[in-house]
Amino acid sequence: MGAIKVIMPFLIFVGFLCFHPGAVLAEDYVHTPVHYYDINHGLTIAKPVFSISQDVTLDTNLSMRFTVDRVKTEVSGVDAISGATQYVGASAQGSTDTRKEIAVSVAHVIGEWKIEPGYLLSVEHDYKSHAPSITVSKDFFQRNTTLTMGYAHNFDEVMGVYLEVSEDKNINNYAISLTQVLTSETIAQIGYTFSDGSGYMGTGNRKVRLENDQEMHEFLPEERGREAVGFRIAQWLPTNGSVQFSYRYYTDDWQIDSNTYQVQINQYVADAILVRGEYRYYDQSGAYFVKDSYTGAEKYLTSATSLRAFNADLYGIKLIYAVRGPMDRDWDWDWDWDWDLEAKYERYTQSNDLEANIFMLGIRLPL
Amino acid sequence: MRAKGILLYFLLTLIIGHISSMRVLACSIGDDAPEFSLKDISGRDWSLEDLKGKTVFINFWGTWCQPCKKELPALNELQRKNKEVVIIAINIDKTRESADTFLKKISLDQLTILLDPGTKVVSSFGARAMPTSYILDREGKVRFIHYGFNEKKDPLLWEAELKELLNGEKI
Amino acid sequence: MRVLLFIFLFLIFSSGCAIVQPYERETLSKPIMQFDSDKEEAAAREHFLNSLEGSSGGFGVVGGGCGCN
Repeated sequence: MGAIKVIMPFLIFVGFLCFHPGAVLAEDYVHTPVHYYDINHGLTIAKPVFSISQDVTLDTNLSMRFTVDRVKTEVSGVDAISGATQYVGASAQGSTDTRKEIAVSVAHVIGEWKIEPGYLLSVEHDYKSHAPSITVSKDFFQRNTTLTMGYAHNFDEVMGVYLEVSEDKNINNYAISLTQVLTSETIAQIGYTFSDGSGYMGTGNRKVRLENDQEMHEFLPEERGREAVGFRIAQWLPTNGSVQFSYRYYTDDWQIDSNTYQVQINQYVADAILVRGEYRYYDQSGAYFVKDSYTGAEKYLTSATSLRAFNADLYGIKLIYAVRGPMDRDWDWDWDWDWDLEAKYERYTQSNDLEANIFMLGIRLPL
Repeated sequence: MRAKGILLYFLLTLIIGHISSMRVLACSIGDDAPEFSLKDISGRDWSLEDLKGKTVFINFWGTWCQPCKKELPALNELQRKNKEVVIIAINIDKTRESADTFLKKISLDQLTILLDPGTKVVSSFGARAMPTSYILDREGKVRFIHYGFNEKKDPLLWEAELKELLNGEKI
Repeated sequence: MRVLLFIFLFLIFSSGCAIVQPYERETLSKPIMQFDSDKEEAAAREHFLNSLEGSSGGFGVVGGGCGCN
């Protein structure tokens, strides 16, 4: 019964979009990628996604994305990706966990303005998150410049196994970005984001092993202010491809600073085949309260490896094959027979011995 | 404080740069439409000079422009209902293959499709949006301009404007 | 590093400030010239990296949470 309550509104939404008398020419789509993550050969995540985007009028677009994360661990603890010797996990060996997420948004264009309210709901057995959001953008100078501002608020609830009652976490997220067309073949963007969070910042699942071999629950500060500034640029290549560079600097009041550098090259190797190669380098400093070993007298203590100092590399390759259907005009169907098959492999490694292989297969169909 | 000052400087530079580089070449209402000569998709030559004495509706479109593609069936219908008007849809894709592929999927049997791959003609008109349409009177003067496509309002406006030009009935 | 970044941004935004006309935007409209043209891929990657790294943000609002730090 519970499943029907979730599925029925979804089917009605999809039905509305599919049978709405939209133009056959619209580049609306259904996209169904499936990701598979193999992390440290002990944690696997299967992540099917169903996403649909449809123009309901020339000025209004409806989008919806439904995601499932099916997490399976072969070692102790759902957070076993930490690998830290001081970590003591929460769950029994061979456990599974499922996270479901639905995100919807409506984008409406009025002249040079675009307004896009959205909502995201994420639910797993120990965490729930509601996040309404709004994004407003305006074009200037004949759409050569676009200013975008956004706000989202997280109403999160943490229900880890070590928590007797659920704890709240609230986060205000602000974003502003400026996109500038530089030439007919070059476009650049600067972005700035700021968030301030308060409440329970942990997972409620992690413990820390002390020097005397005893265990203690993780304890984190109840506030966290984070900001990041990013810059990226895309340049068309005369070989019928493009190259994108991006850089992001991040800092927060837990004293984590990080730098992210990324380069992506897209190249058509045939009319219907696009290849994308990517490299990302990341480095971060550790939070001020992170230590290799704790006595138990510290105010804050954590076993989360994501808060430690490390660097990481990500290499990726993606292939998109455009399937083109028959062009016979005698077909009665208003159906565009062009669709994309895609496959991707990425390799992610951290200097703290975490490594992951990521696979993706997907289909993108025009509506 | 310093960061705010630098940001303000960037924004001012951006604004000044844009203002100083804006071209003022747009074809306006009352102007004589620029002369042009283009081939249609079957290779036949067309020139605006040959259309003097007729009411002409010129539309600029590209396969990479969503509103342009949505507008074309409405223009096709407009042509079907108004045989005394010449409606020309000028494609500005860099390669004609894109236009050919698109035109195989959609029936635009009433429209005259011309090709302007070097964007010389659209540039001479100074189109400020995609799509842009110009309605010319019998003397070749621009009488109405439409930027973008409003699927509810534009078909009605076109009919009224063409009626004014053909019958002299002011809207 | 920040001085270099500001200088670089100054050069970018003050030098090439010519208006690109609407009819010259064919190349810019191609998906491989868009930032995050595949929204589903961007969301999946952001979620994966945010669960393993201590950073987030830079472009766009970061809405929605998970049991990860």
